Amino acid sequence: MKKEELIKKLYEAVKDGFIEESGPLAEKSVELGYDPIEVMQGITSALKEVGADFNDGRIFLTELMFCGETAKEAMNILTKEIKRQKKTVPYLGRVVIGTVAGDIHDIGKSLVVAMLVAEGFEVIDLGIDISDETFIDNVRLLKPNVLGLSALVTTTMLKFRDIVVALEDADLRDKVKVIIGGALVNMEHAETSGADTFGSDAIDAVIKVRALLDLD
Amino acid sequence: MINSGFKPWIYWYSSPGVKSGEVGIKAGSYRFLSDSQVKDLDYAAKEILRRTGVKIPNEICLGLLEKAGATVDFKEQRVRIPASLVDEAIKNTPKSFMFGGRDAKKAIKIDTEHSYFVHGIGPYMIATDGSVRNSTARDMQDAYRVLEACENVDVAGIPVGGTASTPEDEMHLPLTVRRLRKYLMMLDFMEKPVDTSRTYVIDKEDEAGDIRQAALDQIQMEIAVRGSLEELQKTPMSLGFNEAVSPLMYLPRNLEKLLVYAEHGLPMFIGSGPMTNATGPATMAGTLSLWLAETLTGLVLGYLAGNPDYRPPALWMCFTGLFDQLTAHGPIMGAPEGVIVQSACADIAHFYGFSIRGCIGSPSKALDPQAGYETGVGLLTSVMAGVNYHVSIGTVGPGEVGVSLEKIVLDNELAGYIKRIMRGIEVTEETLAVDVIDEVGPGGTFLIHPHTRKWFRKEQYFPSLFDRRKYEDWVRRGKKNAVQRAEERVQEILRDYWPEPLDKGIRKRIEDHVKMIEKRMAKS
Repeated sequence: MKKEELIKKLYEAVKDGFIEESGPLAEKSVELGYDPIEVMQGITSALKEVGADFNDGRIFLTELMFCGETAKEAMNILTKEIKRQKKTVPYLGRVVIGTVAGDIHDIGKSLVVAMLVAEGFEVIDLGIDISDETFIDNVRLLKPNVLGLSALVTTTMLKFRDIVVALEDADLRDKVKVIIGGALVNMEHAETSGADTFGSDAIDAVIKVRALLDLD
Repeated sequence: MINSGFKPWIYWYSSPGVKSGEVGIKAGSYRFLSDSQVKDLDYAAKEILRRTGVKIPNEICLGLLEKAGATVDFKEQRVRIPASLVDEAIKNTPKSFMFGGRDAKKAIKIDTEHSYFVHGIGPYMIATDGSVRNSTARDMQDAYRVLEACENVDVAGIPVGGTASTPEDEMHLPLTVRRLRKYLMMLDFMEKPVDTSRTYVIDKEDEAGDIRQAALDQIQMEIAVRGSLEELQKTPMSLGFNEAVSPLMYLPRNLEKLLVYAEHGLPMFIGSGPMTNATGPATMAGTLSLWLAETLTGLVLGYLAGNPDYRPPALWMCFTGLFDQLTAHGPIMGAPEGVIVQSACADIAHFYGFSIRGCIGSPSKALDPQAGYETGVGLLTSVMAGVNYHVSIGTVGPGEVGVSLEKIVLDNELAGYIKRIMRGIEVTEETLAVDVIDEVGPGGTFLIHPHTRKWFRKEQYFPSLFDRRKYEDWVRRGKKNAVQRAEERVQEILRDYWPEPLDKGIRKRIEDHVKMIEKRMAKS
């Protein structure tokens, strides 16, 4: 299979959510020695289109998420290969993200992750119910450009402030931008908690992260 | 149905697995009257017909009734009908029939099992703020296009009408010709069945004209569409509208029309709309017994006038509303009393095996919360009660003052909600999803499970007009309320949506028919 053909197939697999095909196609590209970064770009362009389809109401959430899963199958293989070749992916930036302690809401955050990945960011998703210390440790260790904090419940939204204070205490606040999000979160919460901005939804989150990093 | 230039806001419906709106739904089974209460009403109505009787100002009808054993006072035009004759009519009148538009294949079945959403009527065009204006031929076309585009509207009414909707360059033509040309225009735009039953809306001048000829003209036109009377009988395109005028009277013009439809073996609406407090008693039960007596009279008349070889079927109707004691105004169909009386009529009609047409509307003059609440509560109640034919979509004001294109699209969404509610819950091994729940386990997500992708389209109704977005998203899109979105939707439809053109062969037949009538008129 020629490189262009393989990239096209992978692109179609992601767009249509053929989850059984994406992993084997990625493995095939590694086998044939194609540039994993170039192959990866095919995947992200598919994800970008799927994201736009969702934003315009052409596909449903479950389909978007499934396309994301399909992409993940291939990306895991390609990322491993990129590391093995000691290459670096030209990411737009690195984002560490998680849902704060005491909060187990996952869907909105997963959506933000999918959109950021589609946009071309490297995203490290810590998961749900993440302690303040884990956030701080990961910021110190991974040196992300942006830290994303998610909370749905009004009580757990108080955690935003705690984490920002912990970042200040650890002398990390000026090294990372902080974006918060969640169904009830607005700009006022960003201001009172000391975060840099907020994302009203997954699309908005991407716009705001780009703005934080002066990408536009 | 959707033209290539049409960027569908109803994209969902073109997705695989999503039906483009079901035609009709299963009628509900909630009851307002028990069987024994219905039997009490049956007794009361028959007693009214035996003791008080009904005024029937038509010699032919009086003759038929006398011959069948009714007691007739020809001078007073008053008829007292024995219960045995009523029972005979109930037994022998067909209770279900097909009803179709220009394409007989897309006909719907009228019976006690199904429930349909029907556009109402009204002579004026109503803007969203409640201002009223006369309608034009263009308004009529616009309304047809909007109705055709609304996937949850099963039957269209004649949207707007009267002399005002005659194109100016046709005003010099005889009334009959103008009427037929308007009918042709309707066929040009409507694939769905059209309820043309209310003559005054077809043309106000009918009031003064020859109603028999008008009914014959319309039936001839429909024969031209179907090809023959036999085909038209198989799939009728219109119903005779034979309302009694409460209390206990028929008007000559309604009787004329009843006779024409019955002679042709074509279906009839029979029923009435006594206004509680004024043309009917103040009690709900009294309003119902009067309505039933009047409806049974219509049934007997249709039965006696009918062609024995092809008996005209009947669809019962009730358009009762409250006559409001406070504002001296009626009928108020969105009033709770109007809603329960109409819903109870379903219990009564179904008891005899007949289907029933209801008519719910809001007296609110503008597209405001009152209009929405009253339409929603009234319509859902009557659907749940099993009313089979709901003339409720798109009208504004008490007694159907007029038509609002915006209300049509809003009510279309309401109908979508109700259709989903009435579709109910499917319980099977697969829908119980025990295996799926086991696979996902504690703390997992169903969002990307194949079971979700398989079922969400079937289970969920996707509104295309009602807003469910996040606050910021809604702000970003211009903070539009439902009425503003409805205005936009109407503009989208009128910009992009054109129904399939009428079959050329049928159109030619109709044009020939109209030309023939024009020649006949010119000679006379």
